[in-house]
Amino acid sequence: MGTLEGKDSGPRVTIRFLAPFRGRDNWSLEVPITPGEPLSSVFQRLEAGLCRELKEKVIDPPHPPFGVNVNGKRVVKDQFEQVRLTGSEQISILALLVGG
Amino acid sequence: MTNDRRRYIESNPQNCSGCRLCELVCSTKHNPGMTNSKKARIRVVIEHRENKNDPRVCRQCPEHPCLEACPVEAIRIPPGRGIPIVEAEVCTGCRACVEACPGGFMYFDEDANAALKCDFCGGDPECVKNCPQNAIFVKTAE
Amino acid sequence: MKLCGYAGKVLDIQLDGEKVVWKTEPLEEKILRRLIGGRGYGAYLLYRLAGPTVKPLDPANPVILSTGPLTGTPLAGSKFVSITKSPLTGLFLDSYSGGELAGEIKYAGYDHIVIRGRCAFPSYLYIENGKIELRDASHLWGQSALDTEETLKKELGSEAKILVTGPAGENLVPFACVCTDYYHQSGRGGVGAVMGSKNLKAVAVRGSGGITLADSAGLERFRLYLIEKFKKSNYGELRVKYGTTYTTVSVSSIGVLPTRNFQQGTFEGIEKINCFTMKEKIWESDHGCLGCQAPCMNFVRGRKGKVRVAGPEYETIALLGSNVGVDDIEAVAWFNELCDAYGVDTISCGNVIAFAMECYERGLLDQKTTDGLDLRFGNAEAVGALIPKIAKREGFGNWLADGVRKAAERIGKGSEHFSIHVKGMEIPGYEPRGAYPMGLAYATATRGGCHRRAKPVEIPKNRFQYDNFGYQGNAEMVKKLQDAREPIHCGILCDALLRFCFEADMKDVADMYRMVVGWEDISAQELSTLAERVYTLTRCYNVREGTRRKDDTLPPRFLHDPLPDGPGKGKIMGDDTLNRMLDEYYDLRGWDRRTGVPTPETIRRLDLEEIVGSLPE
Repeated sequence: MGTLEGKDSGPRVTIRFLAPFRGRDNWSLEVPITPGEPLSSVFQRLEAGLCRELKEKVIDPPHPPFGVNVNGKRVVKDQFEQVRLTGSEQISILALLVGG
Repeated sequence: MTNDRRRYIESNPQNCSGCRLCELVCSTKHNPGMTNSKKARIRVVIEHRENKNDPRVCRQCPEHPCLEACPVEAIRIPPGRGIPIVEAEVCTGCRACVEACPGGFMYFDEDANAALKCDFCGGDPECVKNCPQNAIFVKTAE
Repeated sequence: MKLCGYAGKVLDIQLDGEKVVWKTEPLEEKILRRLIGGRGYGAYLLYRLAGPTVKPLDPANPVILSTGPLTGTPLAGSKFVSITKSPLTGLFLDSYSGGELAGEIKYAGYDHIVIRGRCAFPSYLYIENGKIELRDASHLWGQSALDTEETLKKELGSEAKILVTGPAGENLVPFACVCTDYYHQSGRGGVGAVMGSKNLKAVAVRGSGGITLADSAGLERFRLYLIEKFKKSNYGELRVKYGTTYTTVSVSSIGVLPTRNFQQGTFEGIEKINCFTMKEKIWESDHGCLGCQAPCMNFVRGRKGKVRVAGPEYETIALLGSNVGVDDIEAVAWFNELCDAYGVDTISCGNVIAFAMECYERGLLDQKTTDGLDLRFGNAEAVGALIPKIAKREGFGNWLADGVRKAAERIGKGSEHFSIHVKGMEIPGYEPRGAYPMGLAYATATRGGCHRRAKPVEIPKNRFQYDNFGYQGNAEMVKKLQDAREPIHCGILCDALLRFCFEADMKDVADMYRMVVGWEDISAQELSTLAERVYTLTRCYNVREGTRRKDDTLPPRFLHDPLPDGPGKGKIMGDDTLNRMLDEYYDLRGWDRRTGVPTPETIRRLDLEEIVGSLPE
């Protein structure tokens, strides 16, 4: 678990990476947010390499092979602007891999 | 040019998944137009119940007991190759080399009645290129 | 014209009491290009050999071990398929398996091995190239599949590749599987029971031959191309690292994880049985199929080393984990090893046990009936005790040993409502109420409740527009996904060539056939027609057995009850949705809307007249 800044209090969301990002899968990050901040803005504020990877895998492709859930509900990339965070959300990013 | 720094195929059995791609591609490399693991110069010993897999192939040892054992000089070091190669046309199928190899890395092609030894594919081993698990890799001796 | 890739022969074996009679026949060249091999050519063989007068456990019902021209070549993971009339459904069954046996059948000189008849006493077949012998297996009868294979490997040498049926097959459990290389199974539909009905404990194959390749230089380059595709793929790395178990993450994320007999689509204990936990707690090493660049099987050790198994696959985690309410990955691995040892399909077994648990919790079964087993969801010890009882048809185990459809008939009291099968085959690890196209996939899969024809779950909406909570676009997607598998299932290579690993397309598959077999003019378009042909041929087989539109349906729970959780919460699929999907699907397939029977025009268009003749209406 990593934190983006050294703040002790204030609203934050947890992003769980359940697919390889920055060379690891199954890790998470706590990110402080401003209440009402859009999900898209949070993604943009992440560390440059991670931000780039998210853009490449989740934002730029017309039909991304990775999905984003906020509190257990799928959010498609067109909705990243509209989803406003309050500061307790669990965000997960996963591969749309069903090979069972 | 002699093989001053000995290069050979080393194995990492813990990584081996037992796919036998090495055997299949080796056989094709040396017998274009077909695949037959009984003609491979690398063999994987597989124990499925414990998933213990062991790719076994000639280490190109400098003592080359295979060459020493051959009664008809079918195993020679061709100029520029640096390692012993079996000349199948000369081989009589006596298997003295198979007996002589301390690692058990000499195999035998029943079909062709000739011994089978890794020839390192002239420098770019086909098996290593196709191994998905890095269970075999090229090593240079110290 | 000499064709490469093929061995060129069908081995036709008749078990005749204490002896074996056999002959070989050449492959029929005029059929070959139309059906290629594997599922396609195997369907042709079964169509001829096992019509409506042949019952699944009759001696006349063949076990056909089929390969294709690509099997055993260094291209991708090799598979073989066991084809027979299923004791579970009475319909066409094709059950796939990896393992070295796939290649060995070809190396011994055969493309298909057809086994009919019955032995007078427990026997096994020994096939070494042209030598075919029937040998005594009385010392093996009753043994676990795992121990049987180990014994035969010691007796015959490790070069022999062995197919075994376990105690469940001996007891004619209609979801008994066959096993090879210990941990590979042709799992579904009861191939093990057909072998058991023949008193055939095992088939051992040893081959010294090889396979000719039309363009081995091209294949050398193609392999490197496949390796590059793998490196650039979306999911290749995940596939190797977690195998099928990553699916625990993806299906949970859209609430389609079977939970407590499909009462829910999310499981609160999922983190304890997902891919990450598996890898962290019990994984030991990777195992791969013959010829595979992406070894995806997980060899695990659990329960303080007492359990070792290559598994559990996603389906096992779903059906014998969340579906029975168990949140302990070591327990799931234990169940997997039990199923492998006793020789039962983990999907059907998990499904029928979950059914029993729901009956128990609803008071339809009491502890006296269940032999004292406390069958509340989550009771791992009870599941572990029940698996052997099912395989041995002991006590309460025998209530479940004929599958969930028969169990519901026996228990009654409205339990048919939550007996989760299609055409008698227990439904696997995807809850269709969160992905309606999956419902259509189940309703129209050849062998019944099956996920291996189409799996329309988590498909990014690029080629297909579909509706997880409606019907628009679903039929087209399901048909295209079904068709995508056919050229690979005729090959036979592993489905990992497709979207979820190597991302090979139909042009790549056509190239494989060109380079291996030498068909210079084969194209993606031809493979597309092949796919429709094979799909309709297997449908014709089922129609001949009596399948009609009314059988292309779903359990009442799926059609009429809403999910209580996840994105599907509160939504009801309804008969109307299914009917609309079926209407469109039948139109796309060229099958009669009213009956679901392939029309004469379709049979003609697909060049099937000779094989199928005319179908009943």
